[in-house]
Amino acid sequence: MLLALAALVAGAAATTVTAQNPGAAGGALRVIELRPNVHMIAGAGGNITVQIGPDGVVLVDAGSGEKAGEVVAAIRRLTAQPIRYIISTGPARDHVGGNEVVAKAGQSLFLRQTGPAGAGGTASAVSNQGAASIVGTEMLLTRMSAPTSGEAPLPVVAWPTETFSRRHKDLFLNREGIQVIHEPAAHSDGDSIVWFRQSDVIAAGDIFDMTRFPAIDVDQGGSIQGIIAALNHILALAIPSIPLPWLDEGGTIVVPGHGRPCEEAEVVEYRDMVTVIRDRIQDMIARGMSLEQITAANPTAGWTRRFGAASGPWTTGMFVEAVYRSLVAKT
Amino acid sequence: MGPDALLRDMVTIMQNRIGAAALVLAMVWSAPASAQVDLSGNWVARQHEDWEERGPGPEAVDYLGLPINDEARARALAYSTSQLSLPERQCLYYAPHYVLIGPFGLKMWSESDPIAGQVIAWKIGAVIDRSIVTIWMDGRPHPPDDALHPFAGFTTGRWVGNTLVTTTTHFKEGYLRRNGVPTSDESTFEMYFSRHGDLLTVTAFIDDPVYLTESFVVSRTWQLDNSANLLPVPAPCVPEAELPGLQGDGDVPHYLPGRNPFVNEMTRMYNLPLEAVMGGAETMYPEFRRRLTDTYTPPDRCTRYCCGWGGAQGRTAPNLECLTGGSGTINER
Repeated sequence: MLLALAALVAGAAATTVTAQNPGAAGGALRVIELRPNVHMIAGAGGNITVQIGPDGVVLVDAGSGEKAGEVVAAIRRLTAQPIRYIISTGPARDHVGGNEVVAKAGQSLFLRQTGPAGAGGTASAVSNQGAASIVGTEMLLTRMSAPTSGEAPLPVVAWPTETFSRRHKDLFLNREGIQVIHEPAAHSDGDSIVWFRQSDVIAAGDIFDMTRFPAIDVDQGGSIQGIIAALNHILALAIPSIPLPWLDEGGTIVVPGHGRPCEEAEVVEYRDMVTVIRDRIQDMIARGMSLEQITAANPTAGWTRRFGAASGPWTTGMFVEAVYRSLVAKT
Repeated sequence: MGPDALLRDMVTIMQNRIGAAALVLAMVWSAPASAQVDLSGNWVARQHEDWEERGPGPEAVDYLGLPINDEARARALAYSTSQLSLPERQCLYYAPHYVLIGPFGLKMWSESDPIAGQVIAWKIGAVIDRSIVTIWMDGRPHPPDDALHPFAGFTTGRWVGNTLVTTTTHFKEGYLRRNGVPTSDESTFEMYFSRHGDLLTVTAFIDDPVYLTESFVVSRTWQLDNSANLLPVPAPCVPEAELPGLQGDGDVPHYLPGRNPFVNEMTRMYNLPLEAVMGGAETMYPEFRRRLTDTYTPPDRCTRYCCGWGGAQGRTAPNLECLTGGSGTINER
């Protein structure tokens, strides 16, 4: 029994803040240990997942950029290993805005001082000018290099250096398989989730967001159907703590795009919520209701207080409109 | 539950709420601060409190006596019990306040520092459907907001006189009532454990900024029975039902707004007005019952759950036979 107690104590400690930047103004970064080798950095825009091992540091997303220096400092406090990879889950600036600074603070695995020109030298595109490599879907590269949202394109060094157009891209770093899985037409058409197979951690990006309804950028290829499909895919990958659910420290950890780390149970609740709201709006469309009428009918009732917003970058109205538009486009 | 029982429950809830503060004060001030009471043992639920809700389960739409807001009501009305058949939901636990809402006994034990001997934690075992609750007594702080929310939540406790006062945070979404009335992951609750001989009374205040307009107060009493041999850990669980897959667009059972077929079930069976069935803080208080008194007409006959806790125990009125085990349908002899 004492062993069980010790395990629970350890489990509780594993979720506590283990490092903070005392010099950060307006909200310090929070670094949460998820596994002994995997941490989550919150407070720099979108959540950042940090995997550490003998091969270096692998990041999922790099935050908004405003606190990129603090992000690098937080990583330095965790390990002296160089940042090798940033895997970008989507085009939102609060996830890729920090790519440039964080990548430049890292070191490419492809760096070869004595290598032939064009095959991995310091100035080659493959080595990202010596900075850490950036992985993302081919569509993500398109969205970042030629954004249609009116935003200025990010500098080249922030763009993905290793893109993929198939369903997934595989890496094996720090003694575990890392699967980057394209989730088409979800938050955008360039989204990925990242599955650390041995650590049993899934970084979901903005497909799963514990602070708001899922942000869907219809103009960049996002859709409610894609969000639901991606959430179902996360559920298919995640394993809950069964057959012993009371072992609270067991099961897959899912890092949302924003908000606290979760387990499969929270993804189930979120998937169910999004599906119910989709069904409500679909039914209203079938009954001939306009977007204005649908919005007035409050189709998010039951979850608005928890996930909705009347103002800010992603309001409840914007979510309803995005669902409406993607459903109308489908029919 | 018949209409009289419903109204009785309303009064009980109101009494709980009104008396809770005084009760807690009495418990807290009745003993020196250093006192500690042994809570270990098998505490069995005698099911004499809210038997229907804790046993077979509440009516599909019965929010009476719950201080819920419109958001909670909308979500509860969308709820379909069929959701429990989803493979992903078959082994999901209830929130830790199911200690009070569920029907089961409590196995309690403590764990001590092996050198100093002081109690580090009290534990509440779980029979089924919820996790083991660990009540940390060593003064550790609650985790930060960014921490994981395990099924058990995170609970700390302190002795105030002979009363163990606990605070639970960091748990997952759950149900305030087993018909889909939700509690959010921002909920917290306090429990006050008071032992009176072989009886253990737990009074709880459940707060939820998302779904409740004020505290939901509930008390339950268990009886010591060390022959009960309750297990400290819940039964293993594996999803067995294999329903159609949920890939792609998926399928989540629910009722669209305005189409829950059970909305008027209680009004038909018990003649209760819909505003009572829909709940809200006002339905907890005596004023609400007094307002109903002039207009309320009991139904001619009881058609379901008429025998209550007594029926479940095989003790019924002489001319009645109650079917137990869930339906509770009454047969006249």
